[in-house]
Amino acid sequence: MSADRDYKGTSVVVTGAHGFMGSWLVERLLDLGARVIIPRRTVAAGSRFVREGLEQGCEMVDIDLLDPRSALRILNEGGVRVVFHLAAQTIVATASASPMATFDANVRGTYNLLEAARLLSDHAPRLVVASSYHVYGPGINGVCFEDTPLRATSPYAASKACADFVTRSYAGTYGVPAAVTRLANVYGGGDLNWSRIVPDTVRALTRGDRPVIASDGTPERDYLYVEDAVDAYLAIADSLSDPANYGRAWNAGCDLPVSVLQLVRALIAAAGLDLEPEVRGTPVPGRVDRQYLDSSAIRDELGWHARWALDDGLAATYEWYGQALREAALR
Amino acid sequence: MGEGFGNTTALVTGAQGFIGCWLAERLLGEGARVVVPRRSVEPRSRFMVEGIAERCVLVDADVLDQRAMERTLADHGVNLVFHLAAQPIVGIANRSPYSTWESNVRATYSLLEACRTVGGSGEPPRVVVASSDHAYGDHEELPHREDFALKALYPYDVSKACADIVARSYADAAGLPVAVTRMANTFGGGDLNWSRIVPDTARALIAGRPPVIRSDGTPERDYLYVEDAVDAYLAVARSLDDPAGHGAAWNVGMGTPVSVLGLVRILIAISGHDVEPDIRGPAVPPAEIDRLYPDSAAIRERLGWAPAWNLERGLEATYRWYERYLSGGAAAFVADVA
Repeated sequence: MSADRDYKGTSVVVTGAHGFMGSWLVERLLDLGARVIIPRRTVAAGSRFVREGLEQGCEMVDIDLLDPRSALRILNEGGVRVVFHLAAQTIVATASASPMATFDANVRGTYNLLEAARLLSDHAPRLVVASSYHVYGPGINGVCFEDTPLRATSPYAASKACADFVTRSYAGTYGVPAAVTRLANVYGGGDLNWSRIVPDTVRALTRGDRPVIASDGTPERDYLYVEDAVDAYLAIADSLSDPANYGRAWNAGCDLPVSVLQLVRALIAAAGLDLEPEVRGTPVPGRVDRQYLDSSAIRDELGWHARWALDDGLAATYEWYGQALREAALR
Repeated sequence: MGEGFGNTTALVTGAQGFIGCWLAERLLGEGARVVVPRRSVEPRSRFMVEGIAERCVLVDADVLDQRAMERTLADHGVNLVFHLAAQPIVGIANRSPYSTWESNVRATYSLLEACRTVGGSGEPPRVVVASSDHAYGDHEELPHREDFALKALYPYDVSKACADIVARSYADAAGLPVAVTRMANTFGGGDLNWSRIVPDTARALIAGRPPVIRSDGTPERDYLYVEDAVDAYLAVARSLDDPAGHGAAWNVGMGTPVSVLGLVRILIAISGHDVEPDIRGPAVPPAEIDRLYPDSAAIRERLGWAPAWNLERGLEATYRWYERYLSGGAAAFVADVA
């Protein structure tokens, strides 16, 4: 990738850097010599971003992205060339319990940034906006292509679909150099959203507990190791050197659906334990729940591919949590 | 709720606007109390000049203010909400996307949140949200059915697609009794958005000028007379008695798509003038959809709605309204924003 050359001395904004995915992206950008600017409104104690000292390498700006003037100021005064917009309320259950706060964070936070970019016109930075596989909705069995209809039904999925639509609209109407990512389930060290299957299972295993599976274990999804996700973000940012790619949506996953039970068993193997998960859900006869992404566009057109096999990614993930939990940095 | 609306207190947002004023008027006629939030007063609107305003409870509040909406819903015991307030003009959305997101997307989720909150563990109000056939975007296949993908691309269309998705998600997660309408181009007296084809053409003809067509006249749309639109709003509101209707989207249109040129020729015939339209534009103006045509089979079959007005009769009634309105010189006071 040309990214090594492109980022030296380049001003980059990463929103959501305190989150899981953001911390890995920032780490890579710092390695590539970028000047990384981070808007923040809260500091998450125990986050990988703080814990691994990434904050010291970045310029922190205490603003709230829900303030449109602040969004314009940070892009303009920072001479920003690339924005990775990852800040979002990312938990499905939280969105259902409090839709408006989620719409504010995920929709308004996104159009504030895009509007700032539009106002900067020829000086607009490239924007890579985190959408989600959730935008395709729950009704699909099988593979989702980028042109599969968006049939989001839950507030979380709806918020991501809106962000996705709004971003592509700025690209298609005003020529803002923006694209959206629709990544598979990203896992890796530093994900402190314990409601997710990988962190939840790892935490149980580090305590020697049997992992609990809320479903019957059969739902199949595809998973993506966080370093591969970072590669995808950089590849998509690179793709915006070509205006033909403005307004694109890019799937990225392993093209390999894995059942929850398989995933949990792989983590048990990574932990070197001899346990059986506790499967709580009852099977629904005749129900097939399999959803995964077709990633051929990003592979064929941008040369990206997932380098990490599931077992390797889960082993690396397990190791990160093991160390972090031993250091008692996490509760 | 049954057939009538006598025990209803309805909040109508956008009641100062074109469809909203007809809806408020009908609800008043059916015996409902009508509560109208407003952030500006438009003295020449049909809502004001035809005496609808003085029969409503007027609340000086912005729909974007969730707390104010919560208070309004609670104070007046609102049990039915029609959310029609929006920035409705494609050209304004293209020039000012930000204010369009605020008015069309954020106002929608703020109001829905207020409905959810005020409902608490009790019974939240029923909510009908105005989406639009624009939410579908460009499709090869016509007419659009409700299960078609929303493929909006341009800001106005996207703002409606977002409002549509957001509204239905409140039914999915929050159990709010909400449905959305996706109406064809609605026309009728009281539409003071002069950039739209019917008001613009009527005004030109009344002034004795040839009507101007911004496109080449070929783009096809389905249309809907405003009184039929009001009937559809009431039918959708009644459908929320049945939880099966929560989260539904309903197309509404006459089902007789007509080209812009065809529409203008009907209006010319109604006017009795012997003029030719001034056709100025490319096939499709920039950032606009070429053909929009919703399939209204579902609302016809399941809710028993059917248009009572055909295009000619609707346009005739509309033209006469503009004649009366403009003879009063009222248009001079109305902002002319394309």
